[in-house]
Amino acid sequence: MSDKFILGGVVFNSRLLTGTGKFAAKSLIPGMIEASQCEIITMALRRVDKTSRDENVLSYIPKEITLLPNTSGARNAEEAVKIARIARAAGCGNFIKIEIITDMKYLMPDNEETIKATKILADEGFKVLPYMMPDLIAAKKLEAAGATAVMPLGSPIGSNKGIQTRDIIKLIIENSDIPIIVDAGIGRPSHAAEAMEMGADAVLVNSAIACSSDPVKMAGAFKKAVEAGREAYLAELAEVHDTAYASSPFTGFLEA
Amino acid sequence: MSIKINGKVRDLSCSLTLTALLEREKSPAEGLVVMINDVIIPRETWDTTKIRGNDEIEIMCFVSGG
Repeated sequence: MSDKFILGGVVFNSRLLTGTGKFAAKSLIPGMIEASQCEIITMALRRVDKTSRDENVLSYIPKEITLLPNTSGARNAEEAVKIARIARAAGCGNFIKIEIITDMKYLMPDNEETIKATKILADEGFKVLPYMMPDLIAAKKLEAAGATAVMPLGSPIGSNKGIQTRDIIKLIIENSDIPIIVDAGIGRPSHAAEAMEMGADAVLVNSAIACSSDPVKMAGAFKKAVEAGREAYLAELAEVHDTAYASSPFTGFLEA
Repeated sequence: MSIKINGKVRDLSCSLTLTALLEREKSPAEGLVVMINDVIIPRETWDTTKIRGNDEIEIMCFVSGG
């Protein structure tokens, strides 16, 4: 039985989404995509800055990769909706990652505004992937609003702290009928494996790859970790116990 | 006439097409998204879209992001 990742009606082979941010050079992105085997990648929309060269990140992304523009810069639902409409009109397709942030210290997303934006954009036919602070009620509201998937954060963006919010993410995974993609804070391949072992449908990794010493090698490591975590989840992990359970029977012939 | 490009006021001595304006701005050839007065202008109409006084133009592109 094949284990395909279906997102917004599209079948993907990879459960590793990546981002294009923070690379020392954009020329690393094609190699990273190849090594990670990712099929979905994020980018942002900004005013053209004449002082920067090679600003257009799309020229580094193969045509077959699904684009996932984000609404970074949006401070409320209205701004996120505006960015999403511009991205779609620019030919990026229907997938959109909603990112609504006013907290500049921890970059925590605003769940309330995210729910509002999700409803508006889902009603306009977007495949909405909202980035959210893990909260079971908010996750159910996003699902009811028409989200294609929900993207709870593991820990603050760029912190590489791992799945700090694991207990709530577990609740969301157990109680959602749409895919759950853990996004933000995944710092090591082992974190990605942990998310997949918990039953997450996919993970999104950017900083951990881009900021490593060898992003292409790290992308390959994350690919393997996501596959391993998913296989472990499907194999059903053995139970955890507080006491020991011997691997071999006790040796009776040594007893006097 | 006075217009705004990416939030900055600019004076134009005469009307231009959008294509001509983008060339004057030395904008990248690919991957641009252009809005005039909050309306996205399809690429195929850039040659025939005239810039008018008080137009507010946003020239955008896709950049790195997570």
